[in-house]
Amino acid sequence: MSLFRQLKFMWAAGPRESFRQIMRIDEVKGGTLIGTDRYGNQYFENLSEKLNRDRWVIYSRSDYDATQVPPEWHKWLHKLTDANPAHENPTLYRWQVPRHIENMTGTDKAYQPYNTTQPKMQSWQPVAKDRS
Amino acid sequence: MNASAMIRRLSALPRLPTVGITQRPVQRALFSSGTVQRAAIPHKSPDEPEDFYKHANLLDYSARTLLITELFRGAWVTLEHFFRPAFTLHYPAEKGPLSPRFRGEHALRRYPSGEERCIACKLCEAICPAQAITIEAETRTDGSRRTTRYDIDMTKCIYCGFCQEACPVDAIVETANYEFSTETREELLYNKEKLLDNGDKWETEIAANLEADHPYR
Repeated sequence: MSLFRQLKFMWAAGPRESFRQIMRIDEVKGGTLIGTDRYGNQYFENLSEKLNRDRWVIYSRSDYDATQVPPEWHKWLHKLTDANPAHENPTLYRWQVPRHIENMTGTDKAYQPYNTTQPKMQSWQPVAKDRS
Repeated sequence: MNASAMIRRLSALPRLPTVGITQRPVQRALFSSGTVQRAAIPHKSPDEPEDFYKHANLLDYSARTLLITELFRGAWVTLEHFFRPAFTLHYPAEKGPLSPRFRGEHALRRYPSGEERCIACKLCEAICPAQAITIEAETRTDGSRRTTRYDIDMTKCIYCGFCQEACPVDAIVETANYEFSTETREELLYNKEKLLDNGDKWETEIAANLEADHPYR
């Protein structure tokens, strides 16, 4: 991004928003707000940007992570679709997880593998016979 | 070389170098904003001197070697690119495009009723080149055949996508999610519950990707 465009976007965004964007994405960008997901992440598009840099997300949380993007916006962000997920109203089946969970590795809620079957072998229980 | 020959050689100044690179009008690269003309690179052996030095007279040769113009021309290209927009994606804010066929983390899907699709035919286990899948099956109390164990060792998986190709009921799929890195190795030993959980989590995107790709299958 050229210095002129950077200053133009900083002027348009204002000091507070510019600071937030520099904290999140290391630069200030300008574009159309396509939508906001239910966790407050904002999704932007500016087709005059460089190829593949024309869609981006500004995370709502300061401890942001790429896995905080829910599936319907994930497919928009990765250009799997051009349809705006904010306009879609997907009917969730009752077994679908309504709340998106980020990658919980390194926390208490990290996945731990466990056996899903009955054990097929029993351990030997030695019993000493009475010798009297 | 005698003196007269030396003088004759030095006096032959207006002999211009015939540079071997043929400048022909080539369409510029589609995504390039530069004005650099592309030219074919001629083949030459490693010991052969550059075409310029083969045909240059002494004055041209000295101008090239003493003024090190290559360095400054190279530095100029670097300077040009300093003022051009960067191609670097600012992950995780900006992410590259994916295909609907992208093969990422695995998931087990369900029917709309909530019944799990997998019928324990073990075709995925048979076709898996890395032998990463382990399946055990039993007859359920209602008489249908389902898996009791569906383990995928994600550290063995090579993400070839044969399992989802082999599956007759679209139960095992590879989602477009590639952000499942873990801190420990054992977290990558997925069991059936984890795979079903992935399916419940990513179903909107799995269904959209399968629908986008179904005309080509």
